[in-house]
Amino acid sequence: MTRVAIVVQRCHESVVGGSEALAWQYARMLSARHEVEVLTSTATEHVLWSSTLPPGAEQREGIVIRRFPIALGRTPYWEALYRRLIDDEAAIRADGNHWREALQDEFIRCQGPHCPDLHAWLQVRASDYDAVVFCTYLYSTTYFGIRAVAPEKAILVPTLHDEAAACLSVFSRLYARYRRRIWLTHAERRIASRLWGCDAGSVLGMAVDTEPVAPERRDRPYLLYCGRIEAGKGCDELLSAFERLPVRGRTSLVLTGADHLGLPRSPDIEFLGFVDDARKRALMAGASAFVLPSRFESFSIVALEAMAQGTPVLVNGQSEVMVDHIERSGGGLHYDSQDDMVLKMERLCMLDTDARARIGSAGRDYVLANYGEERIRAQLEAIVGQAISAGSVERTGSGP
Amino acid sequence: MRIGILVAVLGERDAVGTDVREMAAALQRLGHHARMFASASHGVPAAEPLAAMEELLRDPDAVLIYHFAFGWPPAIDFLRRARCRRIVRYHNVTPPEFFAEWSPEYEAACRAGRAEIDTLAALDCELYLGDSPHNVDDFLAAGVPRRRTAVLAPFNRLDHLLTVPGDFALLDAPRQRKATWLAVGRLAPNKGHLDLFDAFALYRDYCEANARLIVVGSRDPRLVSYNAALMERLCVLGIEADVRFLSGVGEEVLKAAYLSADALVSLSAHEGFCVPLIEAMALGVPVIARDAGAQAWTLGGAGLLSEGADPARVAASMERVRQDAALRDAMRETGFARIASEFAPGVLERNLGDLTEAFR
Repeated sequence: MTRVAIVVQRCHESVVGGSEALAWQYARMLSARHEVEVLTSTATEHVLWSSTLPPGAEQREGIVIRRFPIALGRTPYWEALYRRLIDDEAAIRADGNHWREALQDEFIRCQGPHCPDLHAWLQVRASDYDAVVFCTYLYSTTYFGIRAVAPEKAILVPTLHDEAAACLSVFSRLYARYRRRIWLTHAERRIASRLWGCDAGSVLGMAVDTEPVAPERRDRPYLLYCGRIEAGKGCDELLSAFERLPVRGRTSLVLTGADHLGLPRSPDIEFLGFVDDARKRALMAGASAFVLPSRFESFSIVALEAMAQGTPVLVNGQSEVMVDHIERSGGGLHYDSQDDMVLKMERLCMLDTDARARIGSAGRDYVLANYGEERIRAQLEAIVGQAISAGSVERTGSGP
Repeated sequence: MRIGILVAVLGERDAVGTDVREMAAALQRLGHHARMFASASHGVPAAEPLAAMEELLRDPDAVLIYHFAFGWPPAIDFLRRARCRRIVRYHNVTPPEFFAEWSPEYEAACRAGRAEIDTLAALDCELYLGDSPHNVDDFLAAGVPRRRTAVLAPFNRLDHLLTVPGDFALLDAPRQRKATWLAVGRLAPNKGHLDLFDAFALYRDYCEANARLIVVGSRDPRLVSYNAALMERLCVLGIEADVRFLSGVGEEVLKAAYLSADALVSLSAHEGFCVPLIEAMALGVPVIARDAGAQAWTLGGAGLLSEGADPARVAASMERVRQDAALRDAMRETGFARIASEFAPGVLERNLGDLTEAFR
């Protein structure tokens, strides 16, 4: 049986994160035909990348998960490096070499989770795998780990955002050698073309649960947000806009997930904490609209899940990926400013039943056409199969 | 297995002290009972006094590893009397010629140390373990059969250097985008600092007037005339304001110096291994080095090598490194791969384990 490794920064059922969910979905899909191992850190949280799980191997759903100890989590030193990165962002966008490469490496290493034993494992064991999938361009697990794997059998899933770190030249120069890539959206691929000067690879995305569910009935109409509740995801802007919403009082804001922001106490704001998938989908189905204020999205599973439930979505117009989803589907709206956000939230709250159904149906059709499970599984198998064949040719030699 | 590690003086952070301490720790992890012995000891843990070694010397099942870096007659006596198996761990002794112009005392000490190579070779120890093939050559030339030799790169603290934070006072300075040269190593005549200053001055004159040179390394008060010659050369070249000396610095400052550098420049004319080269490689800093001693082997293609120390060639190399991103990538990737396969602490521990297995 062929062996496939998937390298990702975290892997645990408690983890809420897009690329981690993608890595696990790919692992499950591939495990039907390959022996799959997930190589990851001992972290479950991404704020400090603290080591919370024991190192070593465990099995889940027939997939081996190997966790490696974290030599470096996120420290105040990295925060200071990050502030300098933001200070220098304009200069770095103009010249990716504005920081010396060694300092760029330092930023990536100290961002956490830095797992030298994972890199050493790949150094010794890469030849045991027929293909290795690396999820997330940004983290040390991919940046330092991918070097141990021959480009023919490595598959990079960058989950790229247009952010300051992506402009560091070490990323584009290293990943230029790894041409077998999976982009989650066409917009992500365009971002790569712009920032990294490369767009080779396939646009694939991930499968989204499209099973319709009965909507949750609540006391009054509500807007919904699901995911990490933090400023980096634009939740502070969401709260500000909701404060100014004219229909507030008749409409509430419901949030699920982990609150890293410190949500204000308000009768109009309902924080439900973690909810299971079934309830999340029911909440989505019942919402007036699903709001995704994040500027940095390379796919957004939750927004697509909401669309699959026939719910209009409102997204940040600064996210090229999300704007693409909206414009290609007609399943919602995007906003370009704080005032515009308030206006569009108001508009979605005031939709009549027909208009809501029309927008919702367009969104659902888009998800069904592009992100159905069988379609994603078949394309993923094809990409991995190509890597396995190429790696096999590389090992045995293709010429006389 | 009982293993004694003998060194004349156990330092805390110098290359030999680091090799001794990390080797002892690795041997413990490999399941051996390792002890360190020295006539004097700085830092923690301390070595045991030499008298405590006598019982181990009488045990034919034990192994004594002597770290040889300069002349020390008591070691000859211990090795001669020892009934245990013996390994000479050779870090190289600087040839006396380098000190002829500067210090009769150093010249004499180095001459005595080099003379001990023949004496140690004649003791017919079980293994002569060099930091590099270059070091092993000294014992081959002294008549030791090749089968009694092996190479084990020195243990190091790369893992620690990679994780320690860099000092921001130094890190923030290069944001002015000055070209930055870096040299790391004590100020000694074989290290090529005079050549370095000449090359840097030329670079400043012809390539980048804003360039600066950071020299990390301690000054030896016993090398008075050499230290004076260095200062005089700086003044003559008019570069004293652009050269910053950092002496006795901690690892945070050392890390920041590497991260601030466009390249590490090592014009040393004699090196048995050169730890700064692997520190630079591990951190992804390009290297320009003189093709002398073990430096070419240590680099293994991960840097630009210069035959001799011609200032124009060295200055041109620095400019090429600064302008050519593809060259930097090639050097960095070769360096990362070489560290991972040859010099990472885990690799050294495995190699040491293989060597000690032969003594079980």
